[in-house]
Amino acid sequence: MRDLDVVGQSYPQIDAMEKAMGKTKFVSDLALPNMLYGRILRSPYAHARIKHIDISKAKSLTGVKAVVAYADTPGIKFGPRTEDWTILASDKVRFCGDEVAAVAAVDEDIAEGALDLIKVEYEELPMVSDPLEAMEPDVPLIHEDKPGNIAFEFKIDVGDVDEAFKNSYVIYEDRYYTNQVYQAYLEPMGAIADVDLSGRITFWVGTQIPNMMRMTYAKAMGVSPDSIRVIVPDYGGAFGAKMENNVHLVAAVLAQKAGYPVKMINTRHDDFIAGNPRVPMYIDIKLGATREGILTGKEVRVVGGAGARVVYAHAIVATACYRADSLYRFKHVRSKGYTVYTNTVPTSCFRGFGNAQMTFVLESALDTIADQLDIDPAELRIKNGIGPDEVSIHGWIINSCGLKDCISKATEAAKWQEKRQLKKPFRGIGISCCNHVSGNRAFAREFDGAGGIVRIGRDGRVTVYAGESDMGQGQKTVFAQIVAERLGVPLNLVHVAIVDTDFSPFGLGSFATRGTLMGGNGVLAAADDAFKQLADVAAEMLEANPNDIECSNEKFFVKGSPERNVPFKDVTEKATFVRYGSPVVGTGFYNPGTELPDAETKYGNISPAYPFACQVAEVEVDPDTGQIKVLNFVAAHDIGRAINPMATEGQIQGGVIQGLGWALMENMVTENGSIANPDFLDYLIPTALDSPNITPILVEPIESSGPYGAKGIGEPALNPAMSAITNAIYNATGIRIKELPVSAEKILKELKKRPK
Amino acid sequence: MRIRPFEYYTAINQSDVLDKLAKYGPDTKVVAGGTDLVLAMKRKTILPRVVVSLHKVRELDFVREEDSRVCIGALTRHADLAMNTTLNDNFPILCEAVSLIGSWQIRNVATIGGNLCNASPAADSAPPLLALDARVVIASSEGEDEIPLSSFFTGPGATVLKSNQLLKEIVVERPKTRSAGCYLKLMRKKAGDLSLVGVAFQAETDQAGEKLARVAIGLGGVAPTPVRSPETEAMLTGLSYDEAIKEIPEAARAAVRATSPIADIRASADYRRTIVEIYVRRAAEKILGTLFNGEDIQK
Repeated sequence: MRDLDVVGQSYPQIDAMEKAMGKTKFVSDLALPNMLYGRILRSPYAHARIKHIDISKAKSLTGVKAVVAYADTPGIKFGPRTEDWTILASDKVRFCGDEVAAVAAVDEDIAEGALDLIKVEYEELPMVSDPLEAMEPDVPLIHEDKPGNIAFEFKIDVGDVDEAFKNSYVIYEDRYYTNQVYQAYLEPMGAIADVDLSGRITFWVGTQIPNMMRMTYAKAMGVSPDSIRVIVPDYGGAFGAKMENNVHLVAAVLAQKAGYPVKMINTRHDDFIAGNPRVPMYIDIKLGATREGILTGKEVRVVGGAGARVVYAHAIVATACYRADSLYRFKHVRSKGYTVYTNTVPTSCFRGFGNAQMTFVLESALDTIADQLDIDPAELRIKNGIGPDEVSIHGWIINSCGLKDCISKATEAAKWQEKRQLKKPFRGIGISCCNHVSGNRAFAREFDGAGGIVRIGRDGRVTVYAGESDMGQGQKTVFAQIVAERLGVPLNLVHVAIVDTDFSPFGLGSFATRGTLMGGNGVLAAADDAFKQLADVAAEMLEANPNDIECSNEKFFVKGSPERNVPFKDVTEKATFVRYGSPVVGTGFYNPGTELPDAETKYGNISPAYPFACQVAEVEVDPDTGQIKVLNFVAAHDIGRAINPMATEGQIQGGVIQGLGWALMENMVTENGSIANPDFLDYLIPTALDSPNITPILVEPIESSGPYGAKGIGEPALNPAMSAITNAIYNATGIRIKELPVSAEKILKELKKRPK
Repeated sequence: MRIRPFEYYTAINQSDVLDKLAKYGPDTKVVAGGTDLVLAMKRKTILPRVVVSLHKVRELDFVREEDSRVCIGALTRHADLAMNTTLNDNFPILCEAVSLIGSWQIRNVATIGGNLCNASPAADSAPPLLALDARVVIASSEGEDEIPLSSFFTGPGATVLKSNQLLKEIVVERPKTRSAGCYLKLMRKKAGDLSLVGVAFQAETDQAGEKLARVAIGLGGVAPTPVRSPETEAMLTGLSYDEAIKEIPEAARAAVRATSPIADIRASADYRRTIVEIYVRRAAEKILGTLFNGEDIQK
């Protein structure tokens, strides 16, 4: 391969200036003529029967254009994977924040005022908010057809775990809890919905999954998928949360009823109580090892709280049950996962998708075993870590793997050896690793892969269409760099369109750390096609064979003689003229060749490539107050080739800080079934001052399946951060953190238990 | 979370404010920076019929030296207070405390008068001002009155202010001898949090610089109002450096007796009490060091 010009270079995000100057139009900035504003009346009870709803007074308020309750909806049960949703509550409400009725009015004040005029008579029912309690006998059922409130069970059993434990020198067993946390994206969820005269519904919505959303919403609205168009403008972050949510559908029902477009954006309060935060999990782990520190067997039992309806919690619990097994050379594993209904906000995807939860637990357990065996925790991980070209216990074909490189580089940069040996009181250093995927066949179902379209106009302007949207993570820039590289043009010629289901490829979306590998390969294939079309024209102009044509620095030339060349724009103009105005449109797709895991054994290669990471944190604990200060952080990531090193480092830093927030402060507190801290006063997220110095290290083994050798970074950036910090706290104090987050008060309580 | 309709009046000067307060009566709220009031109105915990804005009443935005005292206008913003030279020279404890309020964005609009009138038990400006024996000037259309800040607060969110009265300025006597003070704030993160516990420790030496002539401790977030800790103050006053250092652990424990903290989502009552003791100890050690051995001695 020739040297790369654009890929591998650090560019600012291609839309950075627009965003910095306030020019970007986010979903909440958009307005349509005659647009109305919607507000949702949400349940004040965690569990109650709806006896009566009276919307008549609200309807008669001046400025109100539509008021809807369940009777005004299509009344169809639907859901992304489990049909336990309705657009508005039918006979009962199942969480504080459940959608009961809604109003569209000429302004937000009137809409909110009208909510006060809707009279709802409830009969309160006994409720349950803890998933373990929800599984107990004689607990009220949240969905009557699901005994024990168990929405899903998952199990996996490979090898002989009991025998493995028998052959272990040490066995560690404990219960951990990972709490419910909020994604805290800048822009709350919401949409504008408009219905045309044919009944076709257009959504302007910030979403990671425009096409999957379209299928779900078609079912909910009782129309064909073709009658739904999803346009994804620039939107303010997602971190996994922006998938299907009733807030969008309520806007559509109101728009149908009112005959005008309706804008419905959650207030921050509504977003806290009815967004889709992280699935909280109780995780029991049993882990064995030989005297030499070779892991023998692993058994886990995961109980995940889905909240009042299943969004993707079952897939997240499943991921927690087995993804981390492919980080080490496990031979014997057994998992049981329960996805449990509770009377709380429905939980769902958040950066890490269950693997973040399990990584915290597994890496804490490894740390304890290292301690029991008196083996250096870094060495324990190197001993067991999976390597390149291996096949994991679940049939995952690991192509490139820089795990051990990550461990050695991170420990070296963090002065691991020195700091462990010359340990100071109340100072500690901790390590954690993780694996992840770049696309998840088990989640994608129908197919996995991606397509792309590259359109090149007369003036040489290149527009890229993909199915993976940019929520701020930098997907547009990565696509533009890949396409610019393939075409041989500078980055500024390439533009990336927003995702619109009427024009864009049928992409699965931006999740599972799949955007760069899948979407990137899709647009690369399309750029390849477009290049060949241009090369045909250039070959004619240069009187050469199209197969010998290359392009670099915006000039076409015959391989080997760059001095005789034609400018890119001359070729695109010629190409347009000889086609009577038709632009050059390249299309292409990428088939990752992954396998849907076996239904019973879960065996099957679910992703074309697997990223790895090792993070090292250093902390200081104040013995008087329990306060924890993260002094230093090193994050080494195997990401294949970094398409944009600066953007990759940004992802790593963001992931670390988000993980630090989770470990040390973030917590959605439920009191009597409602969230006690639905605001940023008491839902704490880290500030710049809370961020330690973070050293990102890029480990770049070229991944054969990736576009220009790239893998993904989104989720692995966060996964190891929590246990790197809690393992450092253990090293500093001897306190094993088994429940997130760890507050100063908790640490002090533990310290006080000790004999002085 | 929209704000209910209300009548809004922009006052042009202080007498205009007082006229409007007299005229509109109890349903009236004065707004300065609005960082507390606007949130309360969104949450519907305060529903004023009339809001009188002070933002054009610039005559209340000042820091002025008057003989032995320094006067601070109620409308002075935290960001300005934090950087004010007179205050930094005389009462750095106050600058330190207000520089920890909220975020830069908040400190650029929020005012010291607002912080006091909102009367949060955790208001960061209150403990240092209490420790400085500050007085407040209260104005109404009938005249002015100066009272100690210690009698200003009556409970969480409550003050002695009547509906026709305005907090006009804060008055602090300049220390006559060598003094030093510091403010320690317990937060759940390093910025942008309210204080779970706030400890203001202010001390002065005698003329000879040998003994503590005055010790004053203001505590925030640990009682229905910001409070002083007279017992601890008495234990340390009159002591030499060596005597005081020995007394500090006992005196710090005594400070806890001045508190009656609540338990809430932010911290338990026990934790708040523990922190009071530790922060009083740490602040005392720091200030004693500054006063008697220090490189950082203030004029």
